[in-house]
Amino acid sequence: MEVDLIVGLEIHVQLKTKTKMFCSCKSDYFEKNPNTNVCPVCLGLPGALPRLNRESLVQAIKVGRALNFEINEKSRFDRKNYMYPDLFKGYQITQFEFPINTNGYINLSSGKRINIYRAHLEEDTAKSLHEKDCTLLDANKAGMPLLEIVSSPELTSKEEAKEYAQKIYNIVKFIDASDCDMEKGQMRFDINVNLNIKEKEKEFRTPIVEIKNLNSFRSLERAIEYEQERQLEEFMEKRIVLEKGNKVTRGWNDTLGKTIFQRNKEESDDYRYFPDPDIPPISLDSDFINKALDKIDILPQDALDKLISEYKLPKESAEFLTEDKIFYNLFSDISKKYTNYSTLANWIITDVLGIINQSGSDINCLNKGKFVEILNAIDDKKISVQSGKEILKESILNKDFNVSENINSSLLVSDDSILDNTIKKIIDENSDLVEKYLSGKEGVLSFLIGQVLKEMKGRADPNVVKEKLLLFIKK
Amino acid sequence: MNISDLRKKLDSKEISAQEIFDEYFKKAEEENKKINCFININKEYSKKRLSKENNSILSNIPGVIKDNISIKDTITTAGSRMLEKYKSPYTASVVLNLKDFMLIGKGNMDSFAFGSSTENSGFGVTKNPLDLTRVAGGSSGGVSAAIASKLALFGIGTDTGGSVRQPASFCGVVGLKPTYGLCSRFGLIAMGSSFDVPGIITQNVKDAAIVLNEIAGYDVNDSTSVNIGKKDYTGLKKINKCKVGILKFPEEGLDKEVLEGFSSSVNLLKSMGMDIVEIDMKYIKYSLSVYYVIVPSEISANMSRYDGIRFGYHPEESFSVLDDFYKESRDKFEDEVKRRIMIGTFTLSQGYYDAYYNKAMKVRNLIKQEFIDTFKDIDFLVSPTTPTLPFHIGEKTKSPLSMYLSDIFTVPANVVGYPAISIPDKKFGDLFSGLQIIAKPFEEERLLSFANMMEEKLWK
Amino acid sequence: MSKITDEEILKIANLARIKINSDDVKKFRDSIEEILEYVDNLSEVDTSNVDPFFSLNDLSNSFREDDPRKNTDFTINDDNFISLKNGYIKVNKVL
Repeated sequence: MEVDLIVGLEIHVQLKTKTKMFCSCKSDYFEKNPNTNVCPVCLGLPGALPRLNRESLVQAIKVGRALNFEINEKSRFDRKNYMYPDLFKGYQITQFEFPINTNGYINLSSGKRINIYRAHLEEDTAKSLHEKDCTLLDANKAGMPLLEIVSSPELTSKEEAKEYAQKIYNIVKFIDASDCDMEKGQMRFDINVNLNIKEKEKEFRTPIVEIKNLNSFRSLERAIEYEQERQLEEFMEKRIVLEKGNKVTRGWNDTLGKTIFQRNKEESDDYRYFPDPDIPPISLDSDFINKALDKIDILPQDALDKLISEYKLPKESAEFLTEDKIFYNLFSDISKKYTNYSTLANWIITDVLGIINQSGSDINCLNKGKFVEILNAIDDKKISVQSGKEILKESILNKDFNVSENINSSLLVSDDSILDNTIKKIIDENSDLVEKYLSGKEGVLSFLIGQVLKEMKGRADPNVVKEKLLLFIKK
Repeated sequence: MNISDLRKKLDSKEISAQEIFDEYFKKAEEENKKINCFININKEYSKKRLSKENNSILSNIPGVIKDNISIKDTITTAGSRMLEKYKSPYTASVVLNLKDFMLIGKGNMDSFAFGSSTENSGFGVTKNPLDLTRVAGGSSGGVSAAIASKLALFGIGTDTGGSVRQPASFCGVVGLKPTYGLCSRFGLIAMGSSFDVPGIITQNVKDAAIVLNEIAGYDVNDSTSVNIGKKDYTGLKKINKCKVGILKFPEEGLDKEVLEGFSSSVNLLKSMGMDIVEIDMKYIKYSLSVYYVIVPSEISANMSRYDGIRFGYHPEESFSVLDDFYKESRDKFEDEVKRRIMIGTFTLSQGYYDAYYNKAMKVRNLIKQEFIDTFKDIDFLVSPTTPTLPFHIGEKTKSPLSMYLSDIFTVPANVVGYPAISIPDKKFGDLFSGLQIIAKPFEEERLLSFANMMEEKLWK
Repeated sequence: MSKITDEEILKIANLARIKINSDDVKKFRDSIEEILEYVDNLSEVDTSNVDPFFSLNDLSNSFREDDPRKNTDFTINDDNFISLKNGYIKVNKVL
């Protein structure tokens, strides 16, 4: 028996705008008091009418470009009819027949292309809080602009699904179309999962299961893994195969690590889409599209290519720096003043981000000019790498830290007699170790170097110390 | 009394706002008992708002507003028990444009404007002040009856398929449906969103022009609002010669009075030296079908917000199944509302969308093109406003279709969004037949000038 | 042939969340059928080359600029909303 997994992903991304999609309520609703960021439009009051936010369209076009979509000059908005308490008008304004973006794709690291059917605009619903005896609704996020990115069901493992989702996350964030903060619900996944089972030259498809509102990469992976096993078990037991109308919605319970049956998707899902008469069609000329595209300063793929071919960075470093636009911007800004690119990349990846992650501080605490000053001091052999790292750390953690002064007080000792005397002193104090070294235990050398550096308070170049140490020992 | 006269009296202090208030509310309260033209009389509301200054043309001028037009802090029922207690938290753009007018009352109407007689109102039928056994028309029947009874100098209604022109015709007053997009729909409780427009009901054409001057204008809150800049509609001109199209229509089902009134108006036009062209259009006859597919489709979605959760009627008891809660809440809808929601749900549903909704939209496109072509050769298209004189209360309630057919002359202008006006055509006893004039989009200025001239010829 | 069956009436009533009893079915079916028959004349029109995009006045691209609302005095209260709890809109238990 052969079992193949089939997964399709619908990713909802909250687009970055100042206001909601169809009204002028603000988009920074997070943690505001309930129903204080509302108006007749997003509350769906009788008589209220929508007016499209230009910026939501601009952001959709940017994503369209970054995910290799055809950006359609003609598109329109439709009403999707269904009644649910969090949907105030009883219909959602979305794009059905003529979406803004169609036929996109991205490539996974394996080289496999994942086709993406469409990426269309739609409005978000209100937030529901389920209490014991009632549900409480907050419309602060109702009407926020969403882009729904619908992949074709070509993902064949949980790893592929995760990589696909991660890539979309990186790309959308890189072009600043969304902050993609999953804790704030700015990126959510709906998955469609089923299995293709080959058994004694016969093929079966299990019913498609839809799992909605996954809000982390981890839960995405776990839900697929769980569903893969569950569907196989269910098939072995009941032999139910995919038919028209037996699609099922299940919910993911993160605590239990299980999916739980919610409902059958039957006739209740006749959404009766039709063009929204309140919103005239969209007809874009190349000028509008180009202006939107001008807001992307560089696509992540182009940034990667540039780092490899122009800056000659190793692939791994280049990939790391293009995962997040902030890293890339940091690198490209500093590279204008400091041209030892691979050293710069290493320092950013290992040291700058290391310090930031460890201390939990913000990347903006890094002063780029001071950073270059430190790197130059090391290159000019004024200070040791060790001192440089310490000064960098202090300068990130304390904005008043005086970098120039500390470089000056950490200068490598240029007077040979001081270093010579220190080395002699260490050799004298550790005569037993020197013996060991001479008898062939070369490992003790690094300890001796360390002792010298410690005595010199970092103001000596380890390579010079090593050279001299060997010279003196052999004397 | 017309708006200009009352304005002069107010400005010259011959009459005070308080005197107008006392006189008009007294009359409104008395007459309403006879004809039931108001769902609410806004005496307390207007008492607090008597304007000290007379800085706009409509300051302290009595007006009535159809009850599907939102006014902040007033009950706005749309003629339905569903919204019996709903107080709107905001005001429609057209009402804001009326500035400090004096709101006499909210006009009775067919529930959610679904109807042509106000017999579908959740608050009882409005009687025709010209003959209390007859309907005032609809859906803006309350506003028309109020204007005919001189309870106010102007009224704002809504017109989706004739809901301003038909009741105006039935009550012997003037009803103007402006071009779709000229006056904002923001705050109008939607019926058929791509057909609805706010409309004006007055005792004469000049007053209609004054009111249009106030309510017309671009509104960023309405995406279908068109920015044509500010125009002055009050400078009514004499139109010496123009091409008038007479629509060819089957005479079957038309009252002989209507035919008689119309043919005498055609003769009048000829005697005025107008160039009369008989117009035979191929697609216009599908207007009513287009209307009765697309409007219910739009209605079915527009009515979904009445779910008993945020506003409007809701049952006190709790339900374990959400759909049961919805059904119980929505059971407050009047039958005609339920019927149209169901038709629209059907015409949009899987397997029927292409045959009904999509087909109707395409035919609508053909009718629109046909109007564009036809109006290349003519300036105005005239016809009767309604096929019959006002019918008796109860006469058509058994068959919704026969009621729908009473919109046959008014619907095409909504299908294509053109401006149209109804003026009293001929008097028969206490009743009037109506003359409808359709003009090119955004040519209200010429339409009003032409209607004003016809009104003078017919009635002076 | 009938345009609409009793089953379809029940189905669309359910879709539209409209309560309907057996007496209503016939009442609504008859009047709806009459209307559907009337609009059936649309099928005689050839619409094979008609643009699916429709807009009165040929409007398109009615956009709003991305500026936050300055006037934020709009509030909801018990006067116009059925049931509020700590500022939330309250709904009886949703299953």
